[in-house]
Amino acid sequence: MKRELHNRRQARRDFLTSAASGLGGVALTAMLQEPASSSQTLRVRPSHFAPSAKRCIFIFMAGGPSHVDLFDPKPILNERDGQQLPDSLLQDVEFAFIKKEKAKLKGSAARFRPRGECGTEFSDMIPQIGGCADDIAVVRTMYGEQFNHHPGQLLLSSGKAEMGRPTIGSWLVYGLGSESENLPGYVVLSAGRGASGGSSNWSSGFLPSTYQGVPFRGQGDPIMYLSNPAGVRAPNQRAALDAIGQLNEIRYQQVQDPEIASRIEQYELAFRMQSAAPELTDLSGETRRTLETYGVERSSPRPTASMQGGDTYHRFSTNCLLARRLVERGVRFVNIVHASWDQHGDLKHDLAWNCRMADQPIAALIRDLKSRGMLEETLVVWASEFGRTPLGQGEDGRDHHPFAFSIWMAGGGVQGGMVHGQTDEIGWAPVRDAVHINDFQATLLHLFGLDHEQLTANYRGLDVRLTNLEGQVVYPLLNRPSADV
Amino acid sequence: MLGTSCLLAVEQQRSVSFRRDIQPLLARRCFVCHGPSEQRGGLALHLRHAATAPTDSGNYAIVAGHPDDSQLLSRVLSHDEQFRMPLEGPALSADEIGKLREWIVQGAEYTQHWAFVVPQREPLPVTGPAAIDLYVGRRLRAAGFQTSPRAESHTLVRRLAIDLLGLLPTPEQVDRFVQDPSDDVYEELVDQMLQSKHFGERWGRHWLDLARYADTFGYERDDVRPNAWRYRDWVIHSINTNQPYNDFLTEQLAGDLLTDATVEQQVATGLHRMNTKNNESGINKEDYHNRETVDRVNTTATAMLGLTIGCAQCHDHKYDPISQKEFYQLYSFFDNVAENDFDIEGTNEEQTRYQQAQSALEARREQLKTRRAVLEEMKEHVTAATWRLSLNNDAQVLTDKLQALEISESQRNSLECARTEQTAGQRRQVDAFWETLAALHDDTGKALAQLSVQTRHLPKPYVMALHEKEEERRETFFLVRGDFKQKGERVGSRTPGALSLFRPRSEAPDRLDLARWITSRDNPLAARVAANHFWRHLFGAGLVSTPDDFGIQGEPPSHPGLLDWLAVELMESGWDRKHLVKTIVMSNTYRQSSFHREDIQQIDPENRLLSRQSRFRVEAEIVRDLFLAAPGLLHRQVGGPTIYPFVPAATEDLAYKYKTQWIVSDNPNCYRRGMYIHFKRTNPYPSLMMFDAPESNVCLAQRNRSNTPLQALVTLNDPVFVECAQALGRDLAISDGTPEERIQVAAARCLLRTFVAREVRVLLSLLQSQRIWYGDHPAEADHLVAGYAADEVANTETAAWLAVARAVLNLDEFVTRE
Repeated sequence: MKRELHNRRQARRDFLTSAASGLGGVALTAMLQEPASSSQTLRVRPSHFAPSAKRCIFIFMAGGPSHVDLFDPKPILNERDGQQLPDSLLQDVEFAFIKKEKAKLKGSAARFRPRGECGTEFSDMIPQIGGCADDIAVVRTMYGEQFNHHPGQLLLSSGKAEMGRPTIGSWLVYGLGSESENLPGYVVLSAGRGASGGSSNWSSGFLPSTYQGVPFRGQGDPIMYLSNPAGVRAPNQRAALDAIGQLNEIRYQQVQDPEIASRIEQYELAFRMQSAAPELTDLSGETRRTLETYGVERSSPRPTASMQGGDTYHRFSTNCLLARRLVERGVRFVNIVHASWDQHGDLKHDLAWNCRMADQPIAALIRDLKSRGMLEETLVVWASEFGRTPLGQGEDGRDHHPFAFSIWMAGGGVQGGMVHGQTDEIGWAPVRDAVHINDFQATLLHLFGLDHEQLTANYRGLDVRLTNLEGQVVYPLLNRPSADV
Repeated sequence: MLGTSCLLAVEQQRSVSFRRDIQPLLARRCFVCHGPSEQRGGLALHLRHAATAPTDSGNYAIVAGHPDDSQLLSRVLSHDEQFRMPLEGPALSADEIGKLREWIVQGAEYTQHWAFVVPQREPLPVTGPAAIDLYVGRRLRAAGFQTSPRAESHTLVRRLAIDLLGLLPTPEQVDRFVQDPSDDVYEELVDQMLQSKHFGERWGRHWLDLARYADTFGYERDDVRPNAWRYRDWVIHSINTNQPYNDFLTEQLAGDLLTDATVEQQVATGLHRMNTKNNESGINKEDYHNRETVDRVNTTATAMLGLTIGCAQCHDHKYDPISQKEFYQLYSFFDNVAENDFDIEGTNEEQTRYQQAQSALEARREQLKTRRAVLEEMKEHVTAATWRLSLNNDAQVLTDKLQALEISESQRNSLECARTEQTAGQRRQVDAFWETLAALHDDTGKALAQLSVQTRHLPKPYVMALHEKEEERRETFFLVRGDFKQKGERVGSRTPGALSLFRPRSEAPDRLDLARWITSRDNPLAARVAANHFWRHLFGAGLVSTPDDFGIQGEPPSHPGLLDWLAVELMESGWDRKHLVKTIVMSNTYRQSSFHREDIQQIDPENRLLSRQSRFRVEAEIVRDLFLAAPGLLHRQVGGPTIYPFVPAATEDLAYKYKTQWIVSDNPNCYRRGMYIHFKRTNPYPSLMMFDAPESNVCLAQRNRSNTPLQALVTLNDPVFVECAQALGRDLAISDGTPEERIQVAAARCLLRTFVAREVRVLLSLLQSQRIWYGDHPAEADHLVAGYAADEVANTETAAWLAVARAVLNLDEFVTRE
């Protein structure tokens, strides 16, 4: 499965030409205009061409949900349950845990049926997401090269299995700024368990921390240190900020350093955030019906052995609702991280438990965005670092499988009701329309009106970009033919 | 041979300079197809002999002295899209083409990239700090400007203390210099600070950025390395004792290979144990051996040679003369290193701490095992009653076993009774309990597993070092496209040919040879790169603004002669770091004011000409240090194990399942400097990260300096920072004098200056409004003052002063080095 290095000559040429006429990488140009001060870095900037998506809710299902049990039906697995694979398939592959000589195909307990008018098949483990089939484009032929979690997550989040690179949300905010004046442009939400890649999944890498994902917290303040100290109320905080502002202003007059002006502005933004963030997380303004649709008040069923119980269901539902509220307020990129899809064992119960957690609130989110007319400009993504083997592991598990897996997208200019790509009869490898993780990233940026080859940042003398040195936009996924290509 | 700066001077007299005008142009526009990696049409432009040889078509791209016979010129001049070069991108400008022509007329000489030529000093009429001023002044005057006046005395002392120690100066130091701003007093202050143990902390932390220091391994498991701090201590100690910089590098690269290597010299090799390491199960060991080795090569190259050679892992370097083969020759030096963890005694305190922790853990393990055994036994029985029967009425055994279960007293009582003696409630309780046996058993298993995680975290004193594998040595291969599975030809250990000559001690060169090569007098990079780092930390930007890239793609130095002068000064002083720092801070260039200047702002917005000092927000750790220092909370112990200051609850929500045991350090450890905070790679200490602390996964030569609202939230609201305001507020509340005088106390403690009248008025008005408000809300005052109530002052008054302190600590000026 070799990556096809396509010829980018023409695109490169166009870029260089436009660069010479002063229209080079948007972000870069914007950066150059603001040398020392970092105050304006979130200011909204134009994209390279007309975008279809303005905001993204990226549901990062870390761990590797099983594509053959959720999105890519393979009845033959059930027919050949327990049979060995031909050596030819196994020759050049590696697994994290499975021993090749013992590897046997594993059937799926899931039942698939066609959903919506489009008839895309979804597993009955996620019936409500299936109900949104007409808005969803499933990509069944995703692939990457990383078969361990953290490297795989780095590849998905930052385009390369390497530390220190900016993540998707950072690139978007770097390229486009953020419309929100009193919330961060890039927010991370988690329900109980983060991804094994930890903060590298929302890092701004070598870009300034202005572009890093800001984790919203499940307990206490939604943003760390948002609350005033005990005994400081809003009027005290205001008085303090006024004094700080006036003194900084006096210093500014003397020193003339624009960084001081920037700091004054950042303190004001912090103050606005102090009221905006609690308002954001206060769900009392939502209707009873909305809360119920998202399942905000659901309690978690008794978890299986490897799951964390607690209030995971409640928190995941809340996060989906918060995601809608965040994009409503102009936040550019919301990353809902949930790591619980690493089913090396107890697949049957574990997967069902997770699906029940995810199904209702995600479907509610899509419908809610749609009914508010926001889905058109909001890209919703379900993605993970890899899928799981069609082979069984142990009594009831599957191992990591990066050679083919499924993700899906909805809204934001994505053609709903479609399936892209086809895998072989057991879901092992793409047979048609393979989509590398870098291709997916190129497509995502394209939806935002950004050319993945133009959106670069210089690091150690290299023009680094999200898609590494690869990536091709998957045009069939777009719902309007692009005139810009 | 001519020195670089002389060469440069000569070149400046000519209209065209190969290095300034031609080489970057060729690299940028031509090398992609006609350079080290590709030679389309048989043309390579990166080497003179190749560029002047006939191409596949039999034509000559360059005929020295004859531009009109040179195809290169006709191709760049062509208007035919299919013929014109470069094929990609816009045509060359008239200016660029003119320079190419001129260069060919002059003989098309290839001079070497400035950074690959050994630094030499040109004869100067002055020495020491005056040499710095000479270079800077010369360039400024040429542009028609002068340096700025000297900074105000208090600013200068504060700048010195922050730059050299990362701390605030003492009021005495400031007073002394304010009263007598002579060179002698200034020099005394400099010497005092160079002698301070905090100097090693401040400059050690700079090195740790390059060393990618962290207290955990990174990746999924991100296990703790409880002894990583020994390497940090070694760095601090090395700097404090002013170990020559060449030895500093040598011991880190090859301390284990020195004759009779001491423990300390082995600790030094911890540099290359600081890389990330994947302990996730199911990884391909070969893959990660390769990744770790590549990281060691890259870190060495960036930190010591200022080169970014990572791209040569997969292909020949596009611009710099480093081939892919040479990358793997460097790789070969590290291919046979093995991790060498060895126990040491440590201090008595460390031993005691370790033994206590170990016994506690063992005791707990025994308890859990017993619990599990009892549960297993119980699970064999369908009911509690039959289980009891199996104990043969031995009351003692029954009591012991129930005790081991760690269940509630009421459950225990119920189970202790025979079925017939139980109340209905007790029966229900026992039956319910019996239902949960499996779950309890699971929990016990998990708790035991958790204990083995903790075992890895025990504070056992050991050293993380490297040594050279004696047996089963690897052969190093060129890896095709950097893929560890695609081995190409075999390579030996060698240094890149374009740099200085490599003179190994034997046929089988080792890391010690590499270290000696890096630190040899004729290595063109090591001293320049080091000098640039020293400069950078004293001016906010390097003379080379890309400290990690001295290659062709990097920025050329703003003051090439000065950079070389500093590099030679460093080497000729015996690689004396303190000497170099002192020389720089004694210069007038360093002592200038940092106020922005309107006259030159437009011409030199980035202050490359050094017409003023820089003004910048201090680094993450130093923000914390200054806050703790101002009210005197800072605990100044130098070195030692990592600390765990306060973090908000649920900080680890976003971490994976391997959570840190974050037990907040006691007083005074919780008040130690920011550089000692436990650094967990996948979930680093939040307030550090908000101020751009490095993620510490890879070597970092330059931090970002962002300015965000989240930073404001940290210094306004993070309890650690609020406590600093509380402590300072109380001090102000109980100090003598008028409100105006006490406001000046705050100014002196934080900014080391006096407020002007306008500033005093702002704070007085804040004080008055807060006095009134807290007078009306005494309970709020109690909350705010919390543990910092003063005996003799009402909390309402202390609270108002606290507001003043909090405001002063949050001024831009406070976290800024001016």
